[in-house]
Amino acid sequence: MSGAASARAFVRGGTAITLVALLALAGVYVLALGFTPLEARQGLAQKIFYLHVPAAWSALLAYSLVGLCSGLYLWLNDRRLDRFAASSAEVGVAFGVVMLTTGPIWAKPIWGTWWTWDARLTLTLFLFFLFVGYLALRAALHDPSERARFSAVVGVLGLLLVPFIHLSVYLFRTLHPQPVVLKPSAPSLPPEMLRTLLISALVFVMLYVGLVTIRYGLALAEDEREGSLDAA
Amino acid sequence: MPPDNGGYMVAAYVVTALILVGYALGLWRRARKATREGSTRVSP
Repeated sequence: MSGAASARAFVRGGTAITLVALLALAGVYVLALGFTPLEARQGLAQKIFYLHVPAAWSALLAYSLVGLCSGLYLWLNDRRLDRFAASSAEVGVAFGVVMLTTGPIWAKPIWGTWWTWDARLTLTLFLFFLFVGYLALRAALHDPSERARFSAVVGVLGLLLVPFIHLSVYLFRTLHPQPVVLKPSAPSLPPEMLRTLLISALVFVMLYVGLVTIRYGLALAEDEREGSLDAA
Repeated sequence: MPPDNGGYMVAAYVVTALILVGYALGLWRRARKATREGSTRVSP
C-alpha cells in the first residue's frame, strides 16, 4: 500500500474509533450524572472526578508512550516510532488541557481556591509545558531526522517526570487527594462510583486510540509530502 | 445536606465536551486536507 493510501486508511479507521468513543463519552455523561450516587460532603462538584481523573490518566499514558517511543526511536531509528510519539504528544496535550481546566473548576468549590502551587499541581503543569515545548520544537525544525532526534530527547525527559507526579502526593505535603484506585491496597471507592470511573477511563483510552490513529495518518501524509518516508 | 455547587459541575462537563469535540473536529479536518493534497499531487 502506498504512503497516501496508508494515511487515508489510518484517518478513516481513527475517525470511526473516535466517533464511537465520543458517543460512548455521551453515555458516560448520562451514567455519571444520572446513575451514580451523589457524594454527601462535596455534592454535585464531586462528579467532575469522572472526567478529571480519566483525562489525567490518559494524558499521563500519552506522555509515557511518547517517552517510551522516543527512547526506542533513538535506539532503532524507526520513523514509525517518531510519528507515533508526535501523535501521542499532541493528543496528550489535548487531554492535559482537559485535566488542567477541570481540576481548578473542581478545586474552587472544594478547596476554596482555583489553584495552589503544591507539588502535584506544579509538576503536572510543568509536564504539560514540557510537551507544549515538544510540539513547538517539532514545528520549528524542518529537517525530518533532526526534528525526530531532538524531540525524542525531550520526550524521554518528559517520561522521567511521570513517576514523580504519581508519587508526589506521598513525597510532599499537598492539598491534592491521595490515589483512590492506583495504589497498593484495594480501591477506596463505593462500587457504583468505581464502576463509573473505570468505564469513563476505558472511554478516554478509546478516544486516545482514535485520535492518535487520525494524527498518525496526518503525520504519514505530511511525511509523504516532505518526501521523507524513505528517510529511515 | 450536600453543598449547592452544581454550576461548577456543569461548567466542567461543558468545557470537557468543547475541548474534546473541538480538538477531534480540528484534527479530522487537518488530516482530511493533508490526505486529499497527497492524493491529488501529480507525480513527476
